[in-house]
Amino acid sequence: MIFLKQARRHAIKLIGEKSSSLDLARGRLVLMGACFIFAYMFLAARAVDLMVIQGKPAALVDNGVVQEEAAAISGVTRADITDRNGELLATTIKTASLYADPHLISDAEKAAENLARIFPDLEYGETLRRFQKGGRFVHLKYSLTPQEQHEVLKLGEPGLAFKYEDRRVYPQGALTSHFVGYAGTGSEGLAGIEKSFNQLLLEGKPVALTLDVRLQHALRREMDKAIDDFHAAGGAGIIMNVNTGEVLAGVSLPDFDPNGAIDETSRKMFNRVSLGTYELGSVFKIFSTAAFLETHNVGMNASFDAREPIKRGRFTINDYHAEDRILTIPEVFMYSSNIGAAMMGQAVGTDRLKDFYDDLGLTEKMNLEISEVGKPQVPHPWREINTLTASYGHGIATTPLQMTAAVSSIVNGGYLVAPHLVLNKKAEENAQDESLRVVSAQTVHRMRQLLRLVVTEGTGEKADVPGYRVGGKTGTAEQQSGRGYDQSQLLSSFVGVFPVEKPEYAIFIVIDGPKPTKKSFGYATGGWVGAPAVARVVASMAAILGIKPEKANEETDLSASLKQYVTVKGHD
Amino acid sequence: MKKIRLRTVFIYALAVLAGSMLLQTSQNVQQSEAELAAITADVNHENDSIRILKTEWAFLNSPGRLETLARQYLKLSPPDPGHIANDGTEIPAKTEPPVESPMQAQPVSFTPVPSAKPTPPPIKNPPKEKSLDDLLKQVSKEGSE
Repeated sequence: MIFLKQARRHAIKLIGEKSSSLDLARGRLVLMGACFIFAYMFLAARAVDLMVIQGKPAALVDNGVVQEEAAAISGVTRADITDRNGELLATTIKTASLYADPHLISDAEKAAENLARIFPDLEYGETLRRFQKGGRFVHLKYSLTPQEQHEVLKLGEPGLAFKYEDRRVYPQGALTSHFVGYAGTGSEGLAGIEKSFNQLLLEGKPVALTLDVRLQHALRREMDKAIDDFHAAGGAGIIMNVNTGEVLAGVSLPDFDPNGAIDETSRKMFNRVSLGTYELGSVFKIFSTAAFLETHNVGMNASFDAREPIKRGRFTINDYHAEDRILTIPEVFMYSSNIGAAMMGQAVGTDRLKDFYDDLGLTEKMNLEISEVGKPQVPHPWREINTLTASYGHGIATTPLQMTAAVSSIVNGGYLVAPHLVLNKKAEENAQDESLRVVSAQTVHRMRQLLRLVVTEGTGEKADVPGYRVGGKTGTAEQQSGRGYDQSQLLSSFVGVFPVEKPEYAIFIVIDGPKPTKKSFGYATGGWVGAPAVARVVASMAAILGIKPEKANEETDLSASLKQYVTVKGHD
Repeated sequence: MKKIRLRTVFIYALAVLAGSMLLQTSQNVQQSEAELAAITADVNHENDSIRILKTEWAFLNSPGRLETLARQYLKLSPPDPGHIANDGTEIPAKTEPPVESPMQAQPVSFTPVPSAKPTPPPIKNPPKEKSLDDLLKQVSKEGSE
């Protein structure tokens, strides 16, 4: 300031050039001063803005509301998995976890008391001890229900707060557990579709499956009943659309609830439908008979001598439902003669039978959208004896799902179908491509007749549902135990197709280890265990899908023309 | 000197004006941002609620649960093929011969009950009370003939 005064004093005296340069200097000084003043004013204003206008009380920063806003902004939630009709199979919901900040708790005793009232498992003494221990964070409870959260909010305790976390929920519980799979806590898919479509789901893209929860439930209910009735260990069941290969239902029992604690070592986790491989037995006669009809231009009256067991080295092939006579093709099929089937296989020849099984996809690991897929066990090397046993489903183990797909490929008109789980509208258009043909139309017709005959006259009579014309084939296989087969450990199955003139659906049920009961007169075969279960499933399906029944008529029935080749024993 | 002061005052005023306008604008922006955040949080909260409700809906509608409830509360059972008719001919004819039964043949009609008490029909030529004497006379007459 002294400097300025001096400058002013001098200004009076100064004239000319020097006076103008002094003015200039003074102007600059004023400008600089003004700049500083503005700068400080700006800082002061900003400080007021930050502290007074935008500021929040420190206590609120940890509050749940702020947390929720932050969580809502971050990231996409894991997408839903639905069935073919949009029913939720897996979804993500936000659940609140409760924690406390002991610093902010006004009355620790009262808070602990109230919490013990809302959550019986939070003990008063323990909670109080944790509150009094100090610290800034005490975790209290995971995943509150909305009601519980409401109760806690009603307490009005400032020291209690919520943390919001995503949680994977499976509203259908165990119903679709093996195919939908489950996800871990870190939002990482660990099994089934959850695993194989993990990336897509994380990006927020929903996945629709081909499953139908209603059919799934009907299938599971009837399998459960069969397992109960026959004190069995478990089972696998499939409903497939034979024209598209869509898996409409797939049930593996026992199953697990993906909402609960997961024990990965439990045998409940095992997917018997697509991962387990089994020697499925006589249902394979569908394939050997189709191969025989495809390769041999013979009438249905071609006959096979089933009087003597076939002996090859240490193997003896016997008939379960022994007829001890010469059988025609329909008889071999309807009485499920192992000897007859083995003779057909022999007539087809090792190479051709093996090629046929290859074409049907029975010898290779199938493609499916989940990673739980089993590799079939195929004899290696494939000798003549393997051809004989493979003709009636022994010595070759496949997954129930690929077996069902192979049956579908024959009955649907002879077009190979690939089983799939994810809904894909385009797949239906590609079906019925001539390049995918595996058997001729004539063989298809004969196979449909034979399958119907099994239900009208043969081993599968219990699968009949009046009005729906079910066709099918029973299977009763002995399970391997050690080096041999155990006659008391059966694998009883039935594969049914309906309506048999132009099948739409294939239903396969296999029950593991059924025990004979009084009600079944000491039988635990496919005809007693699998066939009635399939019949019940067909009846339920018809009601669910609204399929109209047609009046039964013995003369126009598909199997009627085969009856001339059949000698029915024991009807007189 | 006077000239400079006037200009300085003007500049100061301008600066203060600019500063206050800036503050005003920034306040507006902040307020809008806060509103937006609140609305976004609301929307997210609503979405979360919808997800929870959908999950609950799916759970409550699971076929197993519905089946149990239907068994418990309904008197309906799943239809079996025999319950379903494909065309009209399967339905029994409606016009069956009428059953000859008085109970069924009664036409439904009401005739009003007359209010007055029905009078007993008049008896024509009421028989005269015969006295014992008359009877005796008659008997004696018959006996005499």
